Amino acid sequence: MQAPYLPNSGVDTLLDPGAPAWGSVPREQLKLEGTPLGLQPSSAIRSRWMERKIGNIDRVEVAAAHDGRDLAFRLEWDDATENGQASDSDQFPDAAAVLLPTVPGASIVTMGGPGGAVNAWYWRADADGGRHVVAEGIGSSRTLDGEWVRGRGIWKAGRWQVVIARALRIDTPEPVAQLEPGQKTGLAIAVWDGANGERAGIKAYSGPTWRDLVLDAMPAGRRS
Amino acid sequence: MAPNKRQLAMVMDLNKCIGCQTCTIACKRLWTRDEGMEYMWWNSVNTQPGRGTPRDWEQMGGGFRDGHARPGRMPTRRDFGEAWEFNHEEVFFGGKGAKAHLKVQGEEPDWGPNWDEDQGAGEYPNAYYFYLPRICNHCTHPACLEACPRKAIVKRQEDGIVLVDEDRCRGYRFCMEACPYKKIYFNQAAKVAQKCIFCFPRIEQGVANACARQCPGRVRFLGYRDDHEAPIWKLVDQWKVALPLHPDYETEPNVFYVPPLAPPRYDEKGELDESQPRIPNEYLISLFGPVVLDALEVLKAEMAKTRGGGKSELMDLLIAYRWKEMFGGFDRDPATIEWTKA
Amino acid sequence: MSAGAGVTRRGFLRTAALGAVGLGAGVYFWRLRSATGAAPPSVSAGTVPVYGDWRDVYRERWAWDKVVRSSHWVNCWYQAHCAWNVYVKDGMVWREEQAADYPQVRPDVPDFNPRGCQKGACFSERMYDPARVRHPLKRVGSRGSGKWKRISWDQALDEIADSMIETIVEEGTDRIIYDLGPGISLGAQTAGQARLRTLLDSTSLDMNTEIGDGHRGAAETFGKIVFERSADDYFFSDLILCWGANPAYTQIPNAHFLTEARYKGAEFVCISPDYSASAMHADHFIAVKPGTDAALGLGVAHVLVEEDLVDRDFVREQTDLPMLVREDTLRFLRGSDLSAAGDEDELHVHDAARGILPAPRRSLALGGLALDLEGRFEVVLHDGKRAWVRPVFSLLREHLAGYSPEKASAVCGTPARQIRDLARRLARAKSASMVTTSNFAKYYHGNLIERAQALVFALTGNFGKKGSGFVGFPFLMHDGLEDFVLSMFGTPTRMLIETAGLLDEARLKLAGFTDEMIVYERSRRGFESGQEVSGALFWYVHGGLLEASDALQAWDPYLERPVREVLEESLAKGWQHVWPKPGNDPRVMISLVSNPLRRIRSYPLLLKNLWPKLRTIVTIDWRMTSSALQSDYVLPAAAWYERTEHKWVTPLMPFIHAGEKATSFQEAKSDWEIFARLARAVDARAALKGIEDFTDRSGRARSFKGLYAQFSSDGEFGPDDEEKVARTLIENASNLEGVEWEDLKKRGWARFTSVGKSLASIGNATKIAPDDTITPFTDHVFDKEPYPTLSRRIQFYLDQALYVEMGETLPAHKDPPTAGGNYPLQLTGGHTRWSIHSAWRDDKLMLQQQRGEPVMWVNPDDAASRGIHDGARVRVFNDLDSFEIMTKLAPGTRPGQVIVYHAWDNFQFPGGKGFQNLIPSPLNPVELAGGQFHLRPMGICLQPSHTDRDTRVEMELT
Repeated sequence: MQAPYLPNSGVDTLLDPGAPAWGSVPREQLKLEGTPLGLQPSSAIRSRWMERKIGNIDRVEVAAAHDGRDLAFRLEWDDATENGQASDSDQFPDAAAVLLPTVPGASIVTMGGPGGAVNAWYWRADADGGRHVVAEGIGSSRTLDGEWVRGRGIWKAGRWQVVIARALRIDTPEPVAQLEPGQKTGLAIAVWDGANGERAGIKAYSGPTWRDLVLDAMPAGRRS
Repeated sequence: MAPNKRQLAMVMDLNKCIGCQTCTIACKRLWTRDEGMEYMWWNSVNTQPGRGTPRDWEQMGGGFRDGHARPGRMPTRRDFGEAWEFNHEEVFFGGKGAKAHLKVQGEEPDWGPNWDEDQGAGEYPNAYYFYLPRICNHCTHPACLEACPRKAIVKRQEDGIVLVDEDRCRGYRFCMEACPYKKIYFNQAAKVAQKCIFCFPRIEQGVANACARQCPGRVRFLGYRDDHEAPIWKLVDQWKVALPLHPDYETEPNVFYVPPLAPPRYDEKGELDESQPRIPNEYLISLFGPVVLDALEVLKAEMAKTRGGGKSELMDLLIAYRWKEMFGGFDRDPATIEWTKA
Repeated sequence: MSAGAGVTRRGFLRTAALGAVGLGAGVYFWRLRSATGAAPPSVSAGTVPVYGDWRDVYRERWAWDKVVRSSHWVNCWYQAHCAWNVYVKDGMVWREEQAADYPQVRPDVPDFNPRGCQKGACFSERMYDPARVRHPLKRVGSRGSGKWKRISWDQALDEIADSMIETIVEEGTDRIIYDLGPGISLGAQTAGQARLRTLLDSTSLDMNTEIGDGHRGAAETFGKIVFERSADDYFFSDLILCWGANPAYTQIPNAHFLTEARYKGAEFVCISPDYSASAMHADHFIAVKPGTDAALGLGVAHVLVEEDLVDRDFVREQTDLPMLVREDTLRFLRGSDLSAAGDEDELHVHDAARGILPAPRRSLALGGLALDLEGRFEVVLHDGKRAWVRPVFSLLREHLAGYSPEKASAVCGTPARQIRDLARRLARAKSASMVTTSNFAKYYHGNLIERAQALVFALTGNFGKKGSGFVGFPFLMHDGLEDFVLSMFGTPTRMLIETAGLLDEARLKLAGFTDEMIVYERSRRGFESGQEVSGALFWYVHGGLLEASDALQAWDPYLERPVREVLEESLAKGWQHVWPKPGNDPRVMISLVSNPLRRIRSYPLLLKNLWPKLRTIVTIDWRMTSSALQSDYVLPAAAWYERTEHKWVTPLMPFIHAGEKATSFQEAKSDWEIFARLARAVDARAALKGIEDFTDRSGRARSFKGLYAQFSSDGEFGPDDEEKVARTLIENASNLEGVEWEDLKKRGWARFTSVGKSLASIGNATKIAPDDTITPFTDHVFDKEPYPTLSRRIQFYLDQALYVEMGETLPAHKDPPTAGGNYPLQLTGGHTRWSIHSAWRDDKLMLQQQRGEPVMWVNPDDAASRGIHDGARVRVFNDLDSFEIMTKLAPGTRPGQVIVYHAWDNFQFPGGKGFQNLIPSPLNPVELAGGQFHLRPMGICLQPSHTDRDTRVEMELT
């Protein structure tokens, strides 16, 4: 998919999922599937989910745009229930993440691997903002310090609209995606339906292969 | 993960437990008073038979069966019992007189950590009940540890204490589903799972756990499982009178119980009826497995010795003439520790 | 209630779990203060795996700034007391933990560690909770409205002082009433009150029988109620009767001695209506109908006598069973029967060789006499008439014919077979003991029950031997308070008092009084003069509680005349005394850590009858209560950890306990300081008004002038001298030999060296050795010291007029009255495991471990027949009133019985209608007896009592 360059839009504007600026950005439907039971990392999880549907959300509408400094994704999906702040332990929040490779060929289904990190930009309905996550294998994800990832979600009439954004490049030694306008990279999406008890590796995702993400180049003379 | 080198264990003598909950309060006051922890009782004591805490936990699954993980249900805060808030200010200082009375604020509770205290089962005069104190079992084969996708649960090499690494924990709560004893709690404020830490900061200083050291009934023995000179090994391995709870869950707990005796029952005419015990065998077997009957026989035989004026090493062990000897060397007085700020 | 993330709750102490991570830099490191602790067995810094900083949160949480030795200076009674370490952090008490450093007394008995209970373990939470009184309060709405104004200490004390002065001058000293509650320490706290009330001649209520701890049956039988063993003495019992007691609830720190004695070989037998938390640990559970234990006991006595299982040597020497009773009058054969100048108190026995002779009085030793227990003898009286006399034992045998196990069984519901078994078990036991309980003191006919219990222990000779004995009321205190009060008088006055005391003592000793009898005699004089006042009678007469006894004749089938008539007779004859005299209304009431409206049965009658008479009501307490709510002033007292104090205990735990002030709290002040300032205020306000003189209750002139100088011993004991007071009391004590205050306050405990000379303890009649357990009554059983009774023996026969009239000369069963009306359920109670009186009844943590509100225990069958389910709210009612409560269905509760455990406060019930409003506490006329040597009222016993366990009720779903 294509992430157009929207000069002067500013990430603060784009963080509003209803911002007029999003109107001009092409949207793409992605089909989602449940993560495979066999890849769930513990037998307790596998036994618990043996008879249950993993990945309740089957499609997500994705749009992306950048302004030369920040990259923002807008995700939209149908979800009959809003699961935000949990009032008890058996309740989980709705959530979504954008996954980017940090090296070519990093594995999605194993959430990366040693030396082949994946970088998730994560938003959750029970918390403001977002989380910046690096993983190098199942169960290894780490939330990085610093408020790099921003996120905002609105649930209305059975539908989530969520924006997740980050600066294209950030100053960190951690293995994260460092992006440039004009770059082509991979993209994967995950959505968790809290009402279905989805959390961790129990989620809907865009499949084991990376989708293309192309960041429009900036006109000459402009610097990110 | 490599097997731990040593294992700390606890034995709780149910024939000495009076259900006073000093252990429960000792733990509460030490560990679970922060925000998000109000409803937590890492140590609980329940009347058996009963629904327990969390409510109906024995029906919630988890653990293993024939070596395979058995699906488990998530215990909710409602199941454990909410932390209640009261209207003291309104009653005492609110100017409402008798119109206001002290009560739980918000939704009327229908459960709590000790809701069915002293109810038990049976029919008068053959009613029966006993107390079952519970903490995390710090299992040899911890279902929680196995379940965690983040390897955020650790069994310590040096003493086998099972801990949730709260820095790694993401609050996914698979451990809560997997633990068959339902002894893990979710901290809604910190968004992590929390449970009994076997008082590791105390253990590190040679001080017995608060629940054990503060138990006025002198119910709890503490020590390394393999210390042949200390009570744990003698009660568990030598005398075989201390048994794990629900061995059928296959997690190999390191908390053991001396099973409960009870006075004989009476028949319709009021005559002693020794054809069956007051606490039905099936019930005790359901908790401790069939070996519970052997353990009870050993206890009765040794008690018969002292009744006849004789000596019994087992009875002397359970009496614990010197309290400090219950703790397998973890007998330092905490007040002798002086802390300095780093 | 939702407690979702982000919800911040109010609280005094809280660090967010995550926030505390940030305190990593402040993590404490430990080092040994002394070399006595063992080295940590396993872990050193090098072996601790590094998982992350989260563990430091927990390490930090356990750490503290300082440790102070303290305890809970409350009336735990059987459980009193426990040495605690109070851990202070950031100027507040962070938590507490048992000190657990008591020595082992003997190698063959377990040590006392680690005494404590769940209530003590959370006082650090309780003391900062919203029930705490933070500053002086003055009522601004109507009484009970809960409308308050914060005032200064000076204003509060000046206004109270003004009211006291006005009352004293206009109406009399006795109109000022001190209501001392179960929170009193009899240490530094109470010393101020004792001094001030002595100087102002106020009325100070003895609340022991009112609370329901009067043990009248024990008092009638032994002439005293204070006698108890040490808890480790159970290790020498081979049979322990837990008869009406529930130590799993009421003796949490002692209970291990019982479970361990059982492992040692003792049989533990529980006798009670309900299958209790104690019964679960018994070898036998014997079920009995509530209030019929006398029938059970007499059934046992029947078997003992009929099967010749009686220890005849013991009863001949130690009891009145050989003493002769006239058949015609049912009175003892007295010296005054045989000679016109004879001694009314001289009783007689029959010896096979020497015939009828006076019973030895100065010693129990019989000197070779072979006293008859059976037989019928004719005597010639001094007027020439003849009379037949018989030993009490022979009357008893005849009396017991009515209590065959089958007949007893029909009354008490216990199968006859179990009654026989119990008798044989008792007879077989080498040493049978009884677990303390004040249960039966709370029954209308509880005295009969206790007399029957004492009888079976006496018939089997189970007194004095290690591990044996029926026991009364446990009490053990230092005896330094009296001297402290006396010492405020100048030397000449003190010399006068002391000389008069010594002369009196010599005179009484000459008359054969033992030390114990002299102590009791002095207390009795206090009751005659009004120095001591029966709280129970005060509430009946001045509180108007007697109103609830007006229906008594309908409830008590044995009663032939109105109890008011008996009361009049008793007061007229000087058997009992009431102060102020009836008709003189009380005006000022000061409740010291006392909650009378919670405690007193039928408390609405107090509000109706007493409250309007009171011009000033003051509550001094650290927390709000139902009574504080109905007061005019509430003064904030320091909580237990905020005082330097020591406190009495019981022989069960024969170590005095002491501790130091750990922290301060807002405007709260120690009780000593409050009374010192009040004394100063009375002094200053009287001077300001130009009032110098007043008259005390005996008509003597006294003066306000110099009041504070006297109170403070010329400034030696000022408002800030709480510790000096505590120290002086210890230094005054005769039964803490060699105990130094400085050591005591640091260590927190010291073993008593003797029972001492106070009324509270002398009755134990035994020695306290440093290296042995304590068994009461060795002075009587082995040293042959007479009992303080009319017969100088354990006395089962009572011939005072009311006992003859009521048919209670010998222990008998009487059907409980249907107190409150003819309803099918008997409402009983018992002390709870969850509170000491009401001190923790509304504590959040304790409530969380219950159901958050009062509950009533109901047998499932009784519930089912009324369509009531577990947790249902019911209306409970009888002729008096009603209250609402949640039910708890328990198969261990006896059908026909419902149980509301002790001390729910009225403000915990809808409409403020506490459960005690259904409890009429009918006045048993026998308790108005007096006149005879040991039936005269004295401190803590032999006054009428308040009872509750006979209350009848019905319930219905709300």
